[in-house]
Amino acid sequence: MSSTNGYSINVNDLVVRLGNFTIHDGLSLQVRNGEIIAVVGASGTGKSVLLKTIIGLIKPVNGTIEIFGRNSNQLSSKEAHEVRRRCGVLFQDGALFGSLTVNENIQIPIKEHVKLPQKTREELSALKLSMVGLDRDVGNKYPSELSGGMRKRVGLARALALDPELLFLDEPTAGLDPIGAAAFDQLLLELQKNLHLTVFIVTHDLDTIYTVSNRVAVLGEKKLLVSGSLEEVSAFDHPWVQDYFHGDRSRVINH
Amino acid sequence: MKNQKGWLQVGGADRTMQISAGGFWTIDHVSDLQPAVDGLVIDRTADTEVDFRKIERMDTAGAYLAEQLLSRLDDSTSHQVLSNQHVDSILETVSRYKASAAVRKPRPNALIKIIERIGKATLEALDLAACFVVFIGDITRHLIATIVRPARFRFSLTMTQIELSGFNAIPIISLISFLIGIVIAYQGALQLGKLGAEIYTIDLLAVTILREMGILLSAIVIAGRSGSTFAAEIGSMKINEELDAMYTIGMNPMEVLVLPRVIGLTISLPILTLIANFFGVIGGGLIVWLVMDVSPTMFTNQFVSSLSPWTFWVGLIKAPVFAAIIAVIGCYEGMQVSGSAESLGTHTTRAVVESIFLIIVFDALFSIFFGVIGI
Repeated sequence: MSSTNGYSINVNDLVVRLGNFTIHDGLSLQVRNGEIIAVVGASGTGKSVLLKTIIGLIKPVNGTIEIFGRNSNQLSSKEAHEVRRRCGVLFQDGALFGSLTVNENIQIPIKEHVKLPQKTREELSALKLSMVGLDRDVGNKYPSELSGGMRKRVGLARALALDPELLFLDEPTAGLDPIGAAAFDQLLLELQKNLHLTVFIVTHDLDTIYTVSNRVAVLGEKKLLVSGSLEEVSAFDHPWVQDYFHGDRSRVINH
Repeated sequence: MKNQKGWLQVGGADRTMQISAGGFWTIDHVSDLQPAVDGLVIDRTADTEVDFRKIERMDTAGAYLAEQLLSRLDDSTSHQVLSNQHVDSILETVSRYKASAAVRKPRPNALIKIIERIGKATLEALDLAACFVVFIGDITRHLIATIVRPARFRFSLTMTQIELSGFNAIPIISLISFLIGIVIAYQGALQLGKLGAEIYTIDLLAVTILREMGILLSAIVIAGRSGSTFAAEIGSMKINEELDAMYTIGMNPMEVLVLPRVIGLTISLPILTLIANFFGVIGGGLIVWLVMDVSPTMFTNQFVSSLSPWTFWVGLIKAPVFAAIIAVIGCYEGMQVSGSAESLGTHTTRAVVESIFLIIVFDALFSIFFGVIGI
């Protein structure tokens, strides 16, 4: 459904520079169809930059990025539009449009890509709101009237508006209370199962990694340090990886 | 993917009804499928069978449509649903959330809505007026506190403001008043020439520039230039929660942000007015010299004799008042910004419009006042 070679995302030899600073130097990463991959790494290792590069917000200096088996450098603008329609992105702070209500925010991708009657759009946006665990009443509010956690949920609802095949989440559970975060993880699992989503998560949340991810990729030293199942990655011999998976904060989960 | 269609077929003999759906029930096809679902005629006496097994792919939009179809069958007699695993799981997800999404508030009637809106707007306006008075009081309090304890005065911040809003505005204000001087002298010479009173162009120039044009032009340019800057700067700091951060660190935004801007502008606008007056007179004088052939010495004599002792001061007295209006409104509107980028835009616009409006109102009041006391 997504691509013929079994990979939703295929990043090869990526080099990204911001100003004079090299963020990634020869980074390669594959994401298989239908998997949930969690990308972790210390602050400043360029997790968010990687996400932004894959979705095309940052231009790499070198290397190729294939989404759904198509090189994103060689897409015509129409093809790029089509690829974007099949991707949903949740930004760190939701990145909602402040001048629009929550409902209008969720309906924007639908309006932009498909022709639907107003009533169906309204119903769909109410459905998405309820899927991310928000009341229908929230739909008439403006983003500035919402808490940070609610904004994040609305952001997810907007990312899900078109039922994307590939979902990018930038720190989805940061700033949520533990119960809300757990509910978020469950929602993600359910959606992934029912909609056969491929999910690319940038996260620090060990709970999320343990609960939802099929595979973990660790960034560091401007490259992909290691990727694989949780067991494989946590056994990897690198001080940061060892600290991360076996440090004080991970104990709660391991025991 | 857009080439593959979703479809809905109805068949069956008497007493039985067969509804089968297949293909792609995704958001791209919802608008095509919707009429078919809406137009479905259901025979309530028949045994109905709904077959979703041929659906290859369904997303939440398609599931929402399928839900609609099923809900229409619910109150009819007997029906059974056949589906595959994929359709089952997504239908289950959607129907679960659909239940909680279905609650809808009744809409209030239009008249009540209008009254509600007027009421809200009135309360808001009153609230705003009260806030503004409080704001002015707050500034005064901090100003007095600063006068009492000059050590708290933010000297370098004030100097920066004088540079940004005063010094950097010199070129534009000089140019504009130079040009306006030319315009006034030229028009004056033409009109007064008809009466043979060309020489009074110089009097016209002196009074217009010194009493009104110098200060008014400077104030309006500064309202557009600095009033908007103040509102946008403080507004975006507010959105970023920088003002809250200042409070918690123990810095008072009034003292750090507002006072330096108000004091800075109150110092720079009179100086800018002087500069505007100077260049206005130079521009006018140039035209008088070139067009009317009046030598600079003659011009100076006529110019000085046309001045009453107050002409110059009448213009200059207004400058600090106008400066305070611009700075206070700019800072106030900046503080009122909340949340969105739209609000930032609205308040920045308001800062400029309100301060220009108030400048003109106060200019009229000054004219009446000076007229009454006879200067």
